[in-house]
Amino acid sequence: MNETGLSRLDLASRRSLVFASALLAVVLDLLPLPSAAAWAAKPLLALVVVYHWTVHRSDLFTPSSIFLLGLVRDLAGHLPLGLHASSFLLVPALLRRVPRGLLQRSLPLAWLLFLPIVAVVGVWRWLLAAVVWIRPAPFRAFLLEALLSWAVYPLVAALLAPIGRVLPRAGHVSGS
Amino acid sequence: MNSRTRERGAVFAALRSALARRSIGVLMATAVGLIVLTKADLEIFAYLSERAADLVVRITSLPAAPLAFLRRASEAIGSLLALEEENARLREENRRLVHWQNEAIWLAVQNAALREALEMPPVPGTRRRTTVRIVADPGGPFVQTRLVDAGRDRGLEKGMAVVDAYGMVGQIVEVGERSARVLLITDFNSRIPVLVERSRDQAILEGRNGPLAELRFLPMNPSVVVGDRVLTSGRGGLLPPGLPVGEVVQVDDRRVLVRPLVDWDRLDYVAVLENDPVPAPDGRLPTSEAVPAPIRAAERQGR
Repeated sequence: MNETGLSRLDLASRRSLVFASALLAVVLDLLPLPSAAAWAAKPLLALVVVYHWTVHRSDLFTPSSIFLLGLVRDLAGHLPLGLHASSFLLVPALLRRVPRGLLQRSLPLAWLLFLPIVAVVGVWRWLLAAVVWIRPAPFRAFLLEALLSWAVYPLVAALLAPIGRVLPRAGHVSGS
Repeated sequence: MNSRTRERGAVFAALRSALARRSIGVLMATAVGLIVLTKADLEIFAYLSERAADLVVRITSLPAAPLAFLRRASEAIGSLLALEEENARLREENRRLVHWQNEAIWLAVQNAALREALEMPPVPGTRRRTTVRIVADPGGPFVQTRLVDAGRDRGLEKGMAVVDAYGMVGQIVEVGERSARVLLITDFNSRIPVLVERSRDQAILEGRNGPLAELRFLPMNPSVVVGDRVLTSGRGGLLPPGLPVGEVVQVDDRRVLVRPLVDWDRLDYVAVLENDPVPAPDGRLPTSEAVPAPIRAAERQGR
């Protein structure tokens, strides 16, 4: 393989890190908690990762990638296809008119803005559950999930920061 | 020629930009459309979901084992620290178990004698059990399901009962080649025919996506009281009769609530009970032979 081929491979592998990290978050979401109690709440890590990359590298994490990630999560959970896809897509939809530069520089600001986003996503998920199963699900589970997702954001952002540093710069990404 | 190419390029760029602007809306609409389609129970979705479950089990089995080891290790360290107290507790438990063992032997002898006197058919033997490991919790707040690391390869079938040492955990609702999905009794889609042990009132136990389940369709003026034990009734023939399910913890004018006996904090391994094709005839009292550990369940109730 010549130098151009190698550099292309390197670029592609670094670009795929964003989606790979989101897939890893989906796998972590699937792991059972130490307590298997039905009411034991846990954060939706995939949503946190979707928010992080939408803020920082929306050029590498397009709506179609987010849609695909949601479908994977739905299939893995034996849930109606589109349930997570639509929830995750709310993130770029809500962030569309928000200037990203400031959010990228300030973690507290990004964290603060994540709160209304998880709230909207939580309500959307609760409404979807009510429509899909034709009865209102207990709101508490969705509320706890949203709050926990919000609470773990700084930790997830810190874990994803090293990946962010090895990603190709925005100008180097072709086709985005 | 050049200007035409440039014009064409500009048109494509404008189209691409318009599509990108609207892509979120289009994808959202697609997602909502898919939800509606999936609700139609198409075969393709069931097939895809089965394959996905097999894959998930393979992936989540890898970190689940070390995680379970870490948990057991931390429990072991904790119990080492409380060794003396644990020893005293075990002695007391052993004393109680011996008492219950004697009680069980006496009841078995009495039961056999009564059956003989009434010319009833002998009770079928204990069902075959398959021990499986819970490796994934895929439903989130939507559905209370767990994925286990066995499927058709180990003879699992839809409808089989899943139990732990204390009582019923749930029922298998989907089976893949190497995975199966268990719907927990606390899920609000779960409905199990049960009866109240003391009063013999039949009902349906319905999950509420919370720690308690609700007894529905009780007969008029049921005589249910707090502390009553709830067992599977075996109606419909799918679930074995006599499996301990829970204990009544609240009775009021509007509802009767039941706390499942399952030990949610130690649910690494569960047993799947083989289906019994012969339905239990109506009116026959459930037997406790299929109960996985009646002594422990009864002891728990007594605590």
